[in-house]
Amino acid sequence: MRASPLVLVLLALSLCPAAPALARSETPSRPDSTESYWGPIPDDAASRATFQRSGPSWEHVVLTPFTFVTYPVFLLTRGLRVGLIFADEHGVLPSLGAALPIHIRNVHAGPGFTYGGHSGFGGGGTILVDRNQPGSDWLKLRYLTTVKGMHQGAAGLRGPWAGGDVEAGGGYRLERNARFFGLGPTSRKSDLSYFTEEQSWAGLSYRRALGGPFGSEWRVVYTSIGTRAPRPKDGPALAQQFAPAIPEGYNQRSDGVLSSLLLRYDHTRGTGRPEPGVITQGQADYFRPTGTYGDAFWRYVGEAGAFVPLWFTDRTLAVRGAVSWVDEVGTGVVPFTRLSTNHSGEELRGFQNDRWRDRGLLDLSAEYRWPVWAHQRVHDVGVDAYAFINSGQVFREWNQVASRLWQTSWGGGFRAILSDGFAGRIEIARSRESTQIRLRADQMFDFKGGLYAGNAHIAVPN
Amino acid sequence: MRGTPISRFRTDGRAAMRAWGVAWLALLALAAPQASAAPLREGPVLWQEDDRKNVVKAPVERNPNLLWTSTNETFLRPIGRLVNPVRLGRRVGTLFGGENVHEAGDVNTLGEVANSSWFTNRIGLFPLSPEKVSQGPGDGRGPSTEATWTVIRAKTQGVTPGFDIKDATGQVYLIKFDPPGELGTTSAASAITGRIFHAAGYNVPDDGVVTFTRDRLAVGPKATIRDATGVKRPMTEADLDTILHRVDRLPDGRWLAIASRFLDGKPLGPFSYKGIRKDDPNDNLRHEDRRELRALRMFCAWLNHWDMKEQNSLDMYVEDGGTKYVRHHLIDFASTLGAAAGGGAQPRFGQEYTVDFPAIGGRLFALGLHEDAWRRGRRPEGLAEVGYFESRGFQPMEWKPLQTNVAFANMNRRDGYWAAKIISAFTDEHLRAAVSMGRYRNPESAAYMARTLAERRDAIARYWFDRLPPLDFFVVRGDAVLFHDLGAERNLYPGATSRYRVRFASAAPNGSVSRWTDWADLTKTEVPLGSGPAALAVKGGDAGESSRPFLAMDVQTSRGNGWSRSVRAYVSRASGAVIAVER
Repeated sequence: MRASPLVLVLLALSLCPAAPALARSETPSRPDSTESYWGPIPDDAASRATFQRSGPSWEHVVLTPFTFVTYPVFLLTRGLRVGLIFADEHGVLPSLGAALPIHIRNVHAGPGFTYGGHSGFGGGGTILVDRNQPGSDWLKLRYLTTVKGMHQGAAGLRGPWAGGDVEAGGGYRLERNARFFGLGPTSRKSDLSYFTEEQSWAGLSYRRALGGPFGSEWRVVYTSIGTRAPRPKDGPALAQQFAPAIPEGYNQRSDGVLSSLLLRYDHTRGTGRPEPGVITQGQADYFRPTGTYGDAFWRYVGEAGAFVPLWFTDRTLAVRGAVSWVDEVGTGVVPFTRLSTNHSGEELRGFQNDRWRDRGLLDLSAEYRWPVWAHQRVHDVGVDAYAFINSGQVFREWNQVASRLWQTSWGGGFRAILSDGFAGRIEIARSRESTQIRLRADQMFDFKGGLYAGNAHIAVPN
Repeated sequence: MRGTPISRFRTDGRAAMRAWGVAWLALLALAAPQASAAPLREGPVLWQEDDRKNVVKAPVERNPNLLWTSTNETFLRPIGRLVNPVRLGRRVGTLFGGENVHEAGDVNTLGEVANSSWFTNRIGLFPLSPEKVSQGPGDGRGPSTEATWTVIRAKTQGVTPGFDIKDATGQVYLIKFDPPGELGTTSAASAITGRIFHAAGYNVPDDGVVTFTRDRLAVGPKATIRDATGVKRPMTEADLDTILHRVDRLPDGRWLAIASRFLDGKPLGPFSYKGIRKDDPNDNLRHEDRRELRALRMFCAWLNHWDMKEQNSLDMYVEDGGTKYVRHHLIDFASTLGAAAGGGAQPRFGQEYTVDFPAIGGRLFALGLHEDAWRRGRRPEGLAEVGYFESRGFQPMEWKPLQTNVAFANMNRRDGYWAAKIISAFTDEHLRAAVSMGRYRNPESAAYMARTLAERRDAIARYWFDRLPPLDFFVVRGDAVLFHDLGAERNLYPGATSRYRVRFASAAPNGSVSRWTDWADLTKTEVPLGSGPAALAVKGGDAGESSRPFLAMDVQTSRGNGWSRSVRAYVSRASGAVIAVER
């Protein structure tokens, strides 16, 4: 007769060692017990094993061809690993986070780059010499060249004098494919033409704080701008495209001394991610020719910007308005290369550089920034995204400022802020005419680029 | 008629697409739940991993490059996981109830991790007194104070200087200070976290908070110092004074520091969270498949151990009873509990990876109209010894270390449940005992820390116990199966009435079962075997007794919001023991 399975179970249960009752309520009264909640945990050969399993076999079947196909990628990462470790352990990479990663005593050097505008992709470098203290640099050398034949070099000196700062600087810039579309707000994109522009400058400036956020600057700069035909491959030439009405100053050299007075109200702090504040400046320039070509003229420039904190952290609205106006003395001649233009990439950003040119330039812009990444601290090194709108126009007379001639562009980008205030940015800007992609390493709305800095944001004191 | 090359390509492309479709469907089917995938077997449960066999030749010391490991973990490995076809298939399979990752490899049939050179079951399986928890891996007393401590070497690099001392017993300790302006934060964190990790089962150094005066220290005759430029030279008393001058002191003029006892054995460098150490013959299971490393993610979330890089681990070649083998340790817990070893603790730590692409993308597309919660993080007011550590808004699965971690990425539900089971085993008394070793000067700091730890513990336990019912520790006692409802016992569902129901079936070694009995309600966590559904199941399986040698028991619980998933326990008819538990 077969025994009932239940009987067998119960028999077996009765024969096996009684499992401990391990109700939770008992545990506090039996702390540090050597008996587990599962009962005794043996340490004998029977309860010991080597674990080797690593996923079910079907996973290996699926992964084998994947591993085979991606093996080149694996090799690439191995190469990256070797390179990265070598660079790290030989001191190359640890210094790259700084804007100027090479340091030899009090000399600092680093690369620079540019992309966009009509000069194309380019690179160069900066050398700084300091007085053995951070921020005490007194000599700056910069050079930049691009694949489209632009060369720009500048040297600057600065130092304290008479309660202020004196800057001296000079430079040279050659642009082989400078563009000309005609003058005025009705110029056409299809009239694009090329010329070669060669500029050099040297001068002195004196900056002095006037108390609080007010400051002033006097500047005297000798400048020389010459134009001539472009390289044969850069066509059509200006002389060909605008044969019936070649602009004043083409194929000429304009030499002269530009005397400037600038007053500034700066309530911001010059960090990579500006704190809330306002910056305003007004500038009056007088140009007196020293060569045989051209006449004297006045130029007035007014700029105002504000960083307005918005909601949450680091959400900022940056607004800026700028106007410049060239006023001939009498019926004097002003070469077209000294007229106002959207050269810097700050005005009318959705249009090609130099797309608009005339006696007056009016530009309004608003940029909304918000943080997308912070390395560690909330306000520290990180990346901001931004969206902007630019609006403005050039004009020959003030009464030309009209809505039908008004140009608007918009776009967005990313700004990377490093610990020392250096900022790199990549942006895409769109207008009714074109889409512009710019990659730059500088500070947005930097009003302070002077002779020492090589006049970075205005290219040259034209 | 032969097609043109283009048409052939198109035809081939369609065929390839079909083939891929079939392959993916197959993959999905395979990724679906595979209950009872492992055959049931009679025999003892595996409680010990055989990885402490004698290793005659010491493995070579590893010195992984920090930059590379960061780059690899931050950029390359996440991309690799993203395009891995098995992971893709499993990810789709989760929609159908599958697991995102295959099971851990060092788990026994009861779902527990076997004791090994990596992990020793402690509070998860054994009742542990608060005193044991506070004692930690050593005797809890720190360096001997019978004589002066001899400084034998020092370092001046980094934000926090430190030096090594030898006490009267010859034991060597690393003395580390808190970062400037953070007196008591990292030292307390080191001592508390080390004790919690040890009680949980991990191998850790014996870290304790010490205070001392200048006359406790003497520079040894052979002491050396490595200066800021990395140059090594003999150390002087003046060097020691310089180091001590750089660190904060207590109001009474004493110095406060963490004393970390040197681990026994020969250091072999950190272990990797991926792969194996090839020169260690005992290291056979890929580290990312170890449950204790996968589930470490939950422990780190609990303790906000955000600096979880492999450099904060250490393998030691140890000798134990004449056997030499590699023991694996977690070290350096200064960057836990809201503190930061280098100073400058940030609310972001524990909330995002250093480069967290999904978070970056989210912020980009949110256009700045949404503020990350961590940006509003604040340190508890008036508690200078506590960093960014809070329970408000804490979500266990949202927690992130600075670097991604391949083992953490492999954590599946059962790994998470296992961690939650251990974490919830820490009672408030245990936590208060551990926190007391942080030697906070402000009692409110200690109370805040213990309270926050308890609240984060409960958050983790509830998260996993809501997903996998915490019915555990099935044992046969007399003619009944007893089990624990950890959710009820650990008071995680206050106010809820817990109900249980059970059903039985006979089971074959491959896990196939006979017809299930109807569900029967239970009034307590005890299931009689001699009557009710168990008896029915036995009777029903009578015909195939030899082919169905096991009794399968499904248990579910309800806290008033419907029945949970089942936990299945298998009882051997022959031995009368619980041989496997599946959840």
